[in-house]
Amino acid sequence: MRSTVMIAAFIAAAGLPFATFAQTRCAEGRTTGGQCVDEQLAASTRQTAIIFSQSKISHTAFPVLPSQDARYRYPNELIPNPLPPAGTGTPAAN
Amino acid sequence: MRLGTGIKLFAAGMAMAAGPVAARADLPGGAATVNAPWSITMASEVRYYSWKGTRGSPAGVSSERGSGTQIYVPYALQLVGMPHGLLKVELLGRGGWVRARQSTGGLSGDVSTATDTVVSGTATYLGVNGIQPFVSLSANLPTGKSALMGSAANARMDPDLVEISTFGEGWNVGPTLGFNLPLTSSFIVTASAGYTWRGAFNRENSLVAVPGTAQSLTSIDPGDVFTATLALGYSAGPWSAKLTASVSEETTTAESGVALYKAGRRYLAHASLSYSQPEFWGVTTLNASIAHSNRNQVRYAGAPDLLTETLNANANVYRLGLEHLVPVGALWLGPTGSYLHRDNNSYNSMTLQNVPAKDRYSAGLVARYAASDTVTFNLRAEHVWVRENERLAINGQQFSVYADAFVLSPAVPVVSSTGWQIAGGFNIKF
Repeated sequence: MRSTVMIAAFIAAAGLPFATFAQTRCAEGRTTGGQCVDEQLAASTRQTAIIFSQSKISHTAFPVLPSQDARYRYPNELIPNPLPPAGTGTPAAN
Repeated sequence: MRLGTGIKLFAAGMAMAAGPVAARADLPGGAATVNAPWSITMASEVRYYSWKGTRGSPAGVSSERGSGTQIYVPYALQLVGMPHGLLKVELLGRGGWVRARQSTGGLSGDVSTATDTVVSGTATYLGVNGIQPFVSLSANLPTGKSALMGSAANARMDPDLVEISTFGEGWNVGPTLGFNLPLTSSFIVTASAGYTWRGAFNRENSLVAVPGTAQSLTSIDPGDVFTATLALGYSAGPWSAKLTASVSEETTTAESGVALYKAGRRYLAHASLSYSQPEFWGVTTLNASIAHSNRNQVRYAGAPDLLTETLNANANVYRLGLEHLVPVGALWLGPTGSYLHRDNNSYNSMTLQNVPAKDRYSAGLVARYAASDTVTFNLRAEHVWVRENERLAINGQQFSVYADAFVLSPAVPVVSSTGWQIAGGFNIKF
């Protein structure tokens, strides 16, 4: 019983600031002046920066939903795979 | 108070703290939100590629006309939420299945396999006004097939015509550190640095390196990559713009324990401009990208170490993309198109190291339909035109700077290919 009360008190204490914060929260944080940051813009620049910083994480796909491939796949189109079968030729007979 | 009640209160508090999570992000505007602490999105597509051309892939192996098809089915699960009011967490796992078939005479082959699996997790701390630091960890899990033995190797086709041209590689792990710096609510500077550890994997040796020689496994240890990225995002009224630039440095790639090459420093730049006026105009998005790489270090015949190549084997690549979507009720649709140009590299066209110029055009239609706040469908159909300049070879020989000798290599005329790319899929949010 005592442990149940302690857990409940902890949860209440932990939950209260969350609930208070929820009234004024911004989905992507705030500027130094306290304004909410543009949610889509912040998420988009972060996602782009992560993909550019990991442009060779996989030749198959970047870690995005398939529906977003058209939006984020272009680094792959710009970086050629250096390991396809290549016609290196055979030394010519003298 | 019962423990169960406490947990329910806690869960309710968490839900309030987490608040709305972006939904329908794949739709233009994407402003719809759902009030849930965690948002789970399941997504999949079926993509079909079909092409034909005056040559197969690679173009120098067979002089017969080429053709091929590919079916690629990616699927993914994404979890986005705020387990703490000041921490945003994004998790994603993505796999897929692919079947590829090339039907070129002398180059026919097919492969069916699961693709590699990609996983990632990103945590963004929102508790400091003026800066939002984030840490991300991505990984490639080798669930695909890196070695294609026998004729299956011929299923590797031109990546300008099909999406999957590499069917597997090794374990890759890539941490990224960065931050968003919102100078105003709609002007954001994002900086990040990532390191990609790329694990070794086996693959077959080249089918065409020494014609007639039986295939054997060879071990590839690809170079690791360090990349620094800077992105600027700005929006004002119906306009939004994004500029991204990165520089990458790569370590040496080895084959069977022997240094093979070290890619030159690579620069990427991308710009995106979007105009959104759904009531009168729709949404127009223009993308432009450019890539440049410095000279590679390569293995010259007889040299004990890698040497910087005398000319640059890397071509510059330029890409433009334009899309315009118009809302018709819950349906968004419109045209899409792109142009990609790869200029020929610095090597003389009579050397084996010459990579000829190449152009790729695409035009098609995109449609997205929001069946509800939680279900969207996507459809994309594009026609593709590819043209690669000729490769010269007098008497069937070209000069190889690596062999320091003339080697047999047939001339390849201009290669023209056309293809269709059709994709349809869905996103379901829970």
